[in-house]
Amino acid sequence: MTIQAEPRAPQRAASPAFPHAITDPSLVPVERYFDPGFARREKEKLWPHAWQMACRLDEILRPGDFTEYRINDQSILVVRESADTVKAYFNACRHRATALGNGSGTFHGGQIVCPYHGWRWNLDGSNSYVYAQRGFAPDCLAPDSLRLRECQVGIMFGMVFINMDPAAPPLATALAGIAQALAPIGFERMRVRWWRHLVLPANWKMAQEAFMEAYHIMQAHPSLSMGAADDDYDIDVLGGNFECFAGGHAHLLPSDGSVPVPGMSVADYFTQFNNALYVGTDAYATDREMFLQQSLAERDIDPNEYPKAFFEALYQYAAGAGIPLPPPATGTTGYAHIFPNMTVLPAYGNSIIYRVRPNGDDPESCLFEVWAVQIPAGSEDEPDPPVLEGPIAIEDWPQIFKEDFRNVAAQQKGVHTLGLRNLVLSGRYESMIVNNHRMIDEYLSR
Amino acid sequence: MTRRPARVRVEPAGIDIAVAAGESVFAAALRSDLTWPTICYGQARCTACVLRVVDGHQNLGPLESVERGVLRQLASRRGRRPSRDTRLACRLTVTGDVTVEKKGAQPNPPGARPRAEDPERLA
Ligand code: FES
Ligand code: FES
Ligand SMILES: [Fe+2]
Repeated sequence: MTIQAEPRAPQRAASPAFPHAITDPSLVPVERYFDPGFARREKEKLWPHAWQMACRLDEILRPGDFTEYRINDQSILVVRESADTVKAYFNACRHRATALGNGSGTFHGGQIVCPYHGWRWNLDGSNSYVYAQRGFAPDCLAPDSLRLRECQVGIMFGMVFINMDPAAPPLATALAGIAQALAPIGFERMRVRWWRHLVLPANWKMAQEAFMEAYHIMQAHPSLSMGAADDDYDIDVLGGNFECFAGGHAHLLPSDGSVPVPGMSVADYFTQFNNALYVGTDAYATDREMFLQQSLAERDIDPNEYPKAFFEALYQYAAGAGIPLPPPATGTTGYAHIFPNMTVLPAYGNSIIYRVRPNGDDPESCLFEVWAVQIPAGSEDEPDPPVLEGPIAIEDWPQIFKEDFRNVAAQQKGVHTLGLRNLVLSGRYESMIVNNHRMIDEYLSR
Repeated sequence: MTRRPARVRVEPAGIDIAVAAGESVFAAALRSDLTWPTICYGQARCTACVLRVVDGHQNLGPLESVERGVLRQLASRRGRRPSRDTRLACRLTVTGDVTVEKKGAQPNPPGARPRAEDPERLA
């Protein structure tokens, strides 16, 4: 794997700086997935200092709209302050700690009101009212002590990122490399088709790692390997060329466009891959692409030229329907990981987006969310904020997700077995995972 | 789907406000620069925003469980059974023109921010 020297050269500890640190990049100590001490270390040293996606911008469209972001035992209110500013506040009244908001909603009249004794704040975090102030010592009423405590906020990809650490470098620095690599994808133009979640019986890292490599396709997803068994299925074609960044992010570089399944034409592979994901994920490819494939089926196209014909039809259709598709990305497939806990799989102006968080303090349970997003036809109206569905049981997910989630649960069982000390990672096919652990350890050793 | 905003007449001030689809009467009133009694600012907690529906009942949006619970408490506080004329402005949506009565709803003095009022001073 290649690592770019920005923003800071990766450091690797020669001897473990803390329990269960990684000393050989291809070996991951199993305790990282269940040890409460390790989870505590992440709680102290990773989550309060790392930039993380708190919500999508389209969840808080209008001034006063808010949503609550939770991570470990922290609750943060993300608030739309004005048409173009967003704030994030620790969700606690400055009087006696009462949480000021719950779930999502709107603070009307520009006022955040404590339900307990009625203290109030403007959307910019400044205090606007203290009931019966005469009863408080003057120091307690100083504007600075009354002001809501803030997190740093950064906007990218149509998402709101927060950082609880006031000393953390800005989002653009933390996302150096991946921000540029993914810019051509047009995430900020996409809107939510659906947003679903489940609680998985696994460590948050274990769960997300199922989506951070394509190496499992041959065995785990028959609908995607299409009958190619063992080494007949050429993983190097769509899962062997990652670019990793110093900040813990990575993305998959484009391949030469050859087919990983021997004997299959480019046209057959291309269409069946889309069909399998359409049925198996209800995302990635959507009705839009299925419709295009159907209309192309009636034309006589050289099988080797099929992708070219498909993209021509796609851009023609988009232009007619007023869908602002960005030009095709040439420097990335878009398949990427954003440190520490997001993975994206875009295609054709659509994307699957994953976010995984620990479930409270339990190192063996996580909240796993999936968004299916798509660039909609241009129109004046913003759709209503997306609504989270679920939790949805593993067996009720579409086939491909089900195959992945079942493996995650089985892995979490396996890490406890005696005699297993490490997971083994491929430096080529699983480098996105290797790079994420490397960056986690940078945080944990600080 | 968009439709033309509904017109809600607020008595006794005699003011008309435009209420968009899905918008609460309270949010529309603040947007239209009215003072509307509140101390929770639209969180369905304080009951200060409560109004009486005078006309256009067929155009009222649904009564959801949070609002129903708050209205029930309000009624029992006043020793009555809930009336279908009583709604929380901060939860009431409308699908067409409606006339409501709300004392204390009035145009903002220029430059003023919305004011909190005594919660017991009800419609
Ligand atoms: S706890 Fe918030 S006002 Fe008292
Ligand atoms: S504004 Fe407080 S209940 Fe409606
Ligand atoms: Fe998978």
